[in-house]
Amino acid sequence: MLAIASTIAFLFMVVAWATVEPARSRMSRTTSKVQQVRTQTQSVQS
Amino acid sequence: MIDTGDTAWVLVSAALVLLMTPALGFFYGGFVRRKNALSTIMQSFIIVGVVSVQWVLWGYSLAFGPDMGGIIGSLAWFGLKDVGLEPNPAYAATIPHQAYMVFQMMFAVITPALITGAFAERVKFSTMLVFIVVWATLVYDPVAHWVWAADSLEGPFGWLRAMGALDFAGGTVVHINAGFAALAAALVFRKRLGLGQVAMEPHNVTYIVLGASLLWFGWFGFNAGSAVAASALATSAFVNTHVATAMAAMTWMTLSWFTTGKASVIGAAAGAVAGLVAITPASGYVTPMGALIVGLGAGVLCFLALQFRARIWKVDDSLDVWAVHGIGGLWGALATGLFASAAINTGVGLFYGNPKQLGIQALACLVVMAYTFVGTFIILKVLDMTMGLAVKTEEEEVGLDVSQHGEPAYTLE
Repeated sequence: MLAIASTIAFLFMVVAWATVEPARSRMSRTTSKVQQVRTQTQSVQS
Repeated sequence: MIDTGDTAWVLVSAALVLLMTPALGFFYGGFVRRKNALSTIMQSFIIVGVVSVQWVLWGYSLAFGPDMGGIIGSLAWFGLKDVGLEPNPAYAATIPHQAYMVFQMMFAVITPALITGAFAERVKFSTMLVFIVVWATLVYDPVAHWVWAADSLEGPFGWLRAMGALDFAGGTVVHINAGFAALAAALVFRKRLGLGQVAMEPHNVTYIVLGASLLWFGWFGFNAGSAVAASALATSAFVNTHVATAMAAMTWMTLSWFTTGKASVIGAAAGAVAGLVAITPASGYVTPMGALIVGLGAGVLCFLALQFRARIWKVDDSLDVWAVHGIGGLWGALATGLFASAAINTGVGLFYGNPKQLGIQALACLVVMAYTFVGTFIILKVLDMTMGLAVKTEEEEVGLDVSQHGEPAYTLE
């Protein structure tokens, strides 16, 4: 039981390593897109 | 029956081999530019954690567990089930089975750490972590099983061991395995930005010498510990390890002196590591004079391999893992088939009347080279398609210390 729990924890971390970068990249792209839209909106308004 | 002296020696040896992986971090860390120093050390350091956990959960069972056709161990020892404090006579009759397991764990740790030199200064940290887990499971564990596994003293054995292949401490399992995996990695990864156009000098040669010195020290555990007893054989492996390394360090330094006009400190350090690599499979089979020849050959062959890689082939194996570990391991494994003496151990080589041994050694080398190269190539191609292997251009320009870890190695200018 302890071995299975430890394996699940370990594999959870491996999956996290595999997915955290793409997820952060998507967030980063989304954030920059939002900023780009804000900048464009501000420049149109001004 | 547990022997306290043997147990003490194997536990100390395990600690010595553990030290080698952070030492490798410093060795590699000295070679890279200062913006990548900390990330390079971190790669070796965290692999200690990642592979240690993999090893106790399923790695040891796959590598050394009950044999399945000579190819792989079963998962009967998953989570160290049945790996207790009583000896397992198939591996070491006088020490607790867990002492043997933890000693072998340190080999499983350092082998993938060696590969990181091939993609230094450009690997994405997250991809490296996943690669290490997959590579340890699909490449290291099966190869360790082929060469070292046994269910009992009468067998069944891993198939290369059953064939008679000799590998005292890991010439095929550790060094050819890591060296040819590194070659595959260098071919799959893109080259470092500006390679051949901007200087990529080692940022701290003192780290290189420090790392090589600690590797030399730890390697006594690696080789003499592989006798798994505080015995005459351990003494033989200890002496051989030292003299081969001394010879290889001198040889490489002298060659660099001839070719560049200066006695290279980096050359002496790299030569020492080449000697340590080459004597690894032979350390428990050859005489001290045989070890001197192994060291001499390692200095010459690894030096030439590095020149070929850097000047003609121009593959970006950044820290020359293939030249030092691949070629050094190959030479050491073949030299075992040449110089193995019945006066030391059970194996007998060509120069002592058994030419067949050289053929067996060559076959074992070819099998491991092919398996690790193809296996590593496929693993990295899949990771390239899913996670991506190298960092973005701007991240590489900033350096991996800041882009991957947010922590520079040096805060003082």
